[in-house]
Amino acid sequence: MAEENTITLKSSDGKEFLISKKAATLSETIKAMVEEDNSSSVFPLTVVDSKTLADVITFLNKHVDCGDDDDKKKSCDEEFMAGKDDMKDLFDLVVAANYLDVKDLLDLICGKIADMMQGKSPEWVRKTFNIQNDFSPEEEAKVREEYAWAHEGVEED
Amino acid sequence: MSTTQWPRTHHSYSKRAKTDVNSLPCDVILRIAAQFGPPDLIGASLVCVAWRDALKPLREAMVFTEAGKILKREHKRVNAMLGEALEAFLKGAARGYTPAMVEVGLIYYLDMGRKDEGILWYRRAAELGDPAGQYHLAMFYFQLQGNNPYNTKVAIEYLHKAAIGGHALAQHKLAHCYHQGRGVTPSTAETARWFLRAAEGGYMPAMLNISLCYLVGIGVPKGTAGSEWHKRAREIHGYSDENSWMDLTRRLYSKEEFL
Repeated sequence: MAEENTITLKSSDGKEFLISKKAATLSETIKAMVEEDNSSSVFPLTVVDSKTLADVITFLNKHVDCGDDDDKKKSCDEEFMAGKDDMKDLFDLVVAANYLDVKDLLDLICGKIADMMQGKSPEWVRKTFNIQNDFSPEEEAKVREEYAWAHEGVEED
Repeated sequence: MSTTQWPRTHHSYSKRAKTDVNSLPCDVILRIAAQFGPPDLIGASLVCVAWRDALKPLREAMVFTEAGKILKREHKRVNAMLGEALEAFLKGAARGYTPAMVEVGLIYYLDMGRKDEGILWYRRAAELGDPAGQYHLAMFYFQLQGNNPYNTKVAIEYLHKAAIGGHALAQHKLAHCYHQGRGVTPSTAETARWFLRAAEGGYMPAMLNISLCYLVGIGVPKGTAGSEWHKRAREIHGYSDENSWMDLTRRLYSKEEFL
């Protein structure tokens, strides 16, 4: 029966997404949920919003279609990442990938964020990621001083 | 339809405002910065208190790795420091720092001839996205006996990842593969593209190769840009010794480093 092979994931803002069990259980977290409670068919994910969940589901479906074909996976991943340059979206995705424990997605997004961060100043990172600088001047100076030898080449704020 | 609440037990994630990136999980911050060189690692540590604290193991690893490099250089002079260097790199690797893993791999593979262990460490670094680890793993698959198509395919995959990650030697090697059609469909455009990337990354033989591409019109329009790259290659080598320049170019030719 088709229904047995699908489950519904519910985002934090209440939207429901139908997905095949095969795709959903590429997430270790969902796999554990399904194994623990076989009788349920709706699984609320309280920390993933609908926009991010839609992205994650696209990724999972693509990867299921690719099977074990690494070439296909590579081009799927490139397609998936195309145009994903908004840091806030990437951060939402990385938090979701970590929570849902989808290793391939986590690797992909962490790599992308790492690439974008390289050679950038701490202030660039703060602005882009909307992070408050909560260092006291003394604390910040201490890090700079302790690692002055390693700090050459970092773009100044 | 029945529903189930997940997580059943209270989970720290649910407390977090979703866009509050200051509270990105530590393991994600560590994962992002695992392959940063010293300047980027310190830059990331200066972002905020949470990041400084999360990145402490990687900063320790960086210190061990730099110490290991000094010991390894000493070893070249004194021939006794290799064990100490390895120990320092292993401490860095144990903290999840991929540049240290690559160094461990290099010592096992090249200096000690313990190739299996070397490959294991290259692979660990490669799987965490380290371009140097990916490059060394690719080169290992290339030199496996018999030019088995499977090995070549795996080699190209890692080489491609390393090249995209900005590893100049990997970009140069990939350009050759595209030129020779080794494991990939031959493409002059890709040949020129990757020679150019490697040249921009400061790799001297790639500068000479891209200058040839411009001279002959391989994958790029014929033009004068080639002479600029040739000049830069020569500047890197230095002008003092004409014989050594000729020696170098001849040696590179014989090693198939050139087109």
